Amino acid sequence: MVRVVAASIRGPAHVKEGLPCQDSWLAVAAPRASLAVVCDGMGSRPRSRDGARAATLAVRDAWRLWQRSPVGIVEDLIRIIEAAWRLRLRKFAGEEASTTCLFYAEDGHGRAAQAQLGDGLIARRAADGAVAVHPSRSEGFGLTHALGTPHSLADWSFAFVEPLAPRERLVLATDGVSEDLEAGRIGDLATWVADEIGATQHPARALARELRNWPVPHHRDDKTLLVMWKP
Amino acid sequence: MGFAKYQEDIVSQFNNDRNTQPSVMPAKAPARNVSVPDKKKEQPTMSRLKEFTIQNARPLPVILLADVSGSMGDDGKVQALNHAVREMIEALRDESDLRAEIHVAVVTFGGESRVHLPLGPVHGASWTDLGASGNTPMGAAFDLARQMVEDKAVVPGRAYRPTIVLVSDGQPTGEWKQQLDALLKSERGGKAFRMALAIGADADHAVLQEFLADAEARVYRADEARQIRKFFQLVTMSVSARSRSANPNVAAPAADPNGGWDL
Repeated sequence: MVRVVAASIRGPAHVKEGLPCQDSWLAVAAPRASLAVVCDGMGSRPRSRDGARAATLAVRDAWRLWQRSPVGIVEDLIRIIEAAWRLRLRKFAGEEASTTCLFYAEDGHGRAAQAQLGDGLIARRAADGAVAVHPSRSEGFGLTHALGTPHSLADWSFAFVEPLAPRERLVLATDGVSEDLEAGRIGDLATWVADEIGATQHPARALARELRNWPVPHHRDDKTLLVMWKP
Repeated sequence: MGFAKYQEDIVSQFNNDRNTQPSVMPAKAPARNVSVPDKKKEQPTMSRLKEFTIQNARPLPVILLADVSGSMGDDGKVQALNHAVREMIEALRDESDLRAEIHVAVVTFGGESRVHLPLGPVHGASWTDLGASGNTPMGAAFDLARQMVEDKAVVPGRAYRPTIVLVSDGQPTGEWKQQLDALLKSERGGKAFRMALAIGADADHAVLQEFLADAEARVYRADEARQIRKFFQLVTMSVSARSRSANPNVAAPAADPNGGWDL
């Protein structure tokens, strides 16, 4: 069974403006399969908070259906997510609720998928310390693809991957975190969160406290960090 | 409904919005699906985030391509340019409450094209006045700007969209179109915000408009040296507004200085 520590916090900009956090995350730890999702609602859109929340639930909706087939492809999962997200939005228009979407999903049949639309980070640290960063299709300079903005399947970066192995750590982060990370220290960050934050009495609170005290000058973004691992 | 058959437990979801408390496991999520440490620690952990994060603010680059050809020596234009750029650097240096760390570079073209001020934090920028001489190798300046923006060691991936400012009082000499195309079609150079100032009647507005690559974007015009200063005030306000905004990657409206101007 996997363990998860995750937290979303409002960035200083939203605190100052009295706006809610527009990041969202969701994790499912199930006996046969696990799911981890982080979404970053685009700050310029009026319903981005709803969009990010809807996206995490849409990934869960799609994943539940996708699990039923041992031969389903990642493209199928993504297509269902796109449709489920629009339905989850109910009456809101997608362009008002644009959000990035990053997830790791095990299918319960010995397979797992990683996918990313937009900014953020998916990375894994193997038990031997090797770190693999999921390739992003981010265009740089904040020009990002997102649910609710014009995009196609080709704008998703997705792949089948091995399910998490014992002592392996998965990191999902929105760009408020990932843009400020030292590339060479992502594995150490995952280890610290899993081994030290995860060992506290209230890991999520401890992680949120750390994120609120983000040490990078002039940072403003909302921040979400999720670490999942198999002990 | 079939959902009850799923052997899954939501560890947690969303966030707590305005609540200062972070997400915690909902009561209905059984502990069996989430490992509980054998030995719970009551003391908070020692923060180690500094070890894993870059300790500089995200840069917002401003690259000035300045014409310092011989004709800029007439009518006090280069003196006005020196004064205006110095004033811009000082104003940007004095900005506070920024989301970004403003970086400034100056590329000159007059006789030859060269980097007069390498891209670096504005608070450490030291300005030395420009002279005016030679012809107008604008194409070479486009090349230098492209190389600067495309070099991830100079403009890192976490940087905000750069602003490239082109100031010229004449027509480019030699090849320039190919270099401009290369800049505009480059992966990162093409995404930069661009502003242009035509100084005097001899400036080639068509070239400057092509540099902007936006039919609705305006080439500012300065018929007098003092208007160069106003243009750089506008640049300063534009960069400041962007660096303060919620998203510095999006153009922020900047009011015209002195209640509007028509260069």
